[in-house]
Amino acid sequence: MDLASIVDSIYASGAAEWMRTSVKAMPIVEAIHVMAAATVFGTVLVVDLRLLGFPSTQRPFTRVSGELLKWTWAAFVVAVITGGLMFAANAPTYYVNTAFRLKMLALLGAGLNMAVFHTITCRTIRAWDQGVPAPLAGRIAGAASILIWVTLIFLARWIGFTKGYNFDVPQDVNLDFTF
Amino acid sequence: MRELAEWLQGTPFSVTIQSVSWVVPLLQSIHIVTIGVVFVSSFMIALRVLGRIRTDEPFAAVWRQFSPWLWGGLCVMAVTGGLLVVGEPVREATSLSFWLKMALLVIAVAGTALFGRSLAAAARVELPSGAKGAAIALLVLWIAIIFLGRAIAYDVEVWGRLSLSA
Amino acid sequence: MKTKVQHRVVGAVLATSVAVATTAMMLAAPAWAHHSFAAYNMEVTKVFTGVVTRVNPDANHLQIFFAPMNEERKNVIRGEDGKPIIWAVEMAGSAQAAKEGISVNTFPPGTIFSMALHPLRDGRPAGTRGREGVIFKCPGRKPPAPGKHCDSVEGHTQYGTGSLPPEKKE
Repeated sequence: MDLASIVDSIYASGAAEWMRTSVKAMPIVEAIHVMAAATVFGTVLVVDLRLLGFPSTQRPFTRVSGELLKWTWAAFVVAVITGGLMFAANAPTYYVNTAFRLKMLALLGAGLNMAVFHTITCRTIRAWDQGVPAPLAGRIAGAASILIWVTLIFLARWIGFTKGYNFDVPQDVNLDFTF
Repeated sequence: MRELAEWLQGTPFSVTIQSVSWVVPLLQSIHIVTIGVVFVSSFMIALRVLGRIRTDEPFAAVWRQFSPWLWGGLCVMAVTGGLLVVGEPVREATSLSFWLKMALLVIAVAGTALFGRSLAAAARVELPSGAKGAAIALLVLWIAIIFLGRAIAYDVEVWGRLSLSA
Repeated sequence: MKTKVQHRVVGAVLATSVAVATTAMMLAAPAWAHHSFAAYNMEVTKVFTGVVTRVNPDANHLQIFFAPMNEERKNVIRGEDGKPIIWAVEMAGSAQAAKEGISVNTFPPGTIFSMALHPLRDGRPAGTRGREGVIFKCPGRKPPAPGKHCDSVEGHTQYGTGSLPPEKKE
């Protein structure tokens, strides 16, 4: 099964049909998506800024991230569910949309950045958890994370403005007539 | 109000915002990023009051850290939001969600200022009993404001017969 | 002093983020449309009678693709390459449009209909129905008389209120 046919079956699903036929579904799901995205970005920003030593290194990094990451993940799950519903509603349109594809790439980048940070940079966490600046790798991860998430949100907003038009005439439509 | 909006829509500045293709999406993007900053600042302050985070610090310290982001973010949103209104005044003026949002915004801003001022003064002592309720109420207000912001584009869908644009 | 430097670092990171994000957006978007009427020139009104080629039941904005008919209402208009010229008109989301009776089922390919649209500013052949623009559907596959629209054909179906507006150039 290739990707395009998976996209088509997502488009044909009951959830997608519900999104297209319920008048209130789209505005409500979109609003929840914005809420969830705002929470993901905001909580990540607090942790990233702490990595950059802002407002100070006084509070242990593990404590700052520990008390926030559960909210980040909860909001992320909500964002994925609502985003999935929005994608399903117009799946073939989003699938070919450049802004959408770049957004997914940004999401992947955010995940990789986080994975590298947690598995490699955090090995030495005891040495810089509190009172001293994070190592360069940590500060770069923090700055990169802010950059990626802001880019992701910009790309996300762009999708709605670049959905475009598929002017192709379906093969079985005959326009060679004369009245 | 409708006439004022029609007039504003015809001014050269408004026409520029409408007709330069990337202006509206750019303003909306900045607006959404800033929602994250403002909402989470408010969220942090509320979580502290609810005793869910940063219980090792007094409320005043949490307020000092996050309130500048909250106010700064709100200023950015006032600018981007204001420009978006100038760009499409008729759409906003004929949206019930827009007017509800503005009303709740006034309440939320005044409430947050009052809330922060009274609690930060109470620095090290126990937080007053009503603080938790107020913190939750403010969060609910911000959530409602975000919902209404998104709903401006869907006035008929969300409000049906109550919509101002039908 | 230390906090001043930190403020600058944070400021630089945030500024760079917005700059990179904006650049990424621009790269992703050679063309624009959608949400809010900003992308359309609302000062211009074009009135079409055309033949439906496809309906895209987009949840945010339903799109009807159609081939405009010539003045004689005998054929669809063709470009220099002989291929039919296709236009698109957007309106409310599919659910809201369905409430009005506009859907894939009520506008199958071949349907002849008339409506006004405000075109995109970027020149592509698409536009918005705007607020509550009226649409007339011809009965069966019966085209209107030369120069006329579907509102003149007996037995037409009307969506929305009022009558077709005059064409308006900028």
